[in-house]
Amino acid sequence: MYDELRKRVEELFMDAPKTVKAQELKEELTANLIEKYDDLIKAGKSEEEALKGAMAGVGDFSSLIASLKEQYEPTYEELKRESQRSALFISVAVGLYIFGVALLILLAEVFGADGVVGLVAMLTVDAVATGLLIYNANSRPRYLRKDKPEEEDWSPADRERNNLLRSVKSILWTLIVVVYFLVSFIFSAWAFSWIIFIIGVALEKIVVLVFQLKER
Amino acid sequence: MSITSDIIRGHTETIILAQLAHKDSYGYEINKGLQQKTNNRYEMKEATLYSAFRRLEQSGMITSYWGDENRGARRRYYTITTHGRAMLVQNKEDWDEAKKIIDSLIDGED
Repeated sequence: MYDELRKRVEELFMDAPKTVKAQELKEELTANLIEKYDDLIKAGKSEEEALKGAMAGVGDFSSLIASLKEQYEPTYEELKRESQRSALFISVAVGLYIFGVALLILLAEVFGADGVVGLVAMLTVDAVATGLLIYNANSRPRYLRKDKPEEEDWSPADRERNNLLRSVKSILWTLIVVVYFLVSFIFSAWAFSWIIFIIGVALEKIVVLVFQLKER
Repeated sequence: MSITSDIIRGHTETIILAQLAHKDSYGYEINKGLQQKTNNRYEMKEATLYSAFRRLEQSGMITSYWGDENRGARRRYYTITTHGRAMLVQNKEDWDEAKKIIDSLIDGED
């Protein structure tokens, strides 16, 4: 008879979105209904009567299910945890940037290392910091990115592709800066190494183009 | 019950908070408690109950956790927060005040 009860609950949730929240609500309702059903059986009701009695108290679930379809709203606790996590990532990244500069000065002034060594060390540290920032930005749940309202209407696939494009662009520009400094220092080519940035712009356009072509 | 349910509906959340003030509980147990306390004159629909749970959880009045029953479906337990307790005290005061006002308005002799 539990199966019949479960079937009724499934029917109730036919229009519900397939989200964790909906699944949890279904499980909560099922647990409560089974217990109510058991109590009615203990009170001497027939299986039919108990099933009817349990389902009679369910009420109108339509507005509750409709609210599940609206944009997912995180609980206060989730929001707090997320923002703490994000703050930690950003703090560490900023700390690393400053550490990178300190490392450069330390290597050059105290240990008398070659300028290139210090620079490579700094850029390596900066790369880690940039990676942290990109990871932080891309792994944040969508509801926390209220500052980008234009994304709201995108389908999940669009959003994923745009996140990917953003990541690729960030990595591209970090690499371009690294290459610029390396080439400039190693070949002392400061007079014309700026051309790398022009090439960078071209590369970015190519990346965007590739993404757009894939879309077709 | 149908006549009074409109009046009670406005206090659904306070009623739930009051049940949770004694101990953590879950949907069916709360409803059973309500029936016993009112000699079967009052019981909430499941839909009403869960809507209220969601609202209360969203506003930080209660938190929830899953029980470890393994009879197929787990119970979802709710705990009142300090925020929720403060709200309960406030709502009780408001209700006492409203009761006094309404009593003096409808019981009063001309």
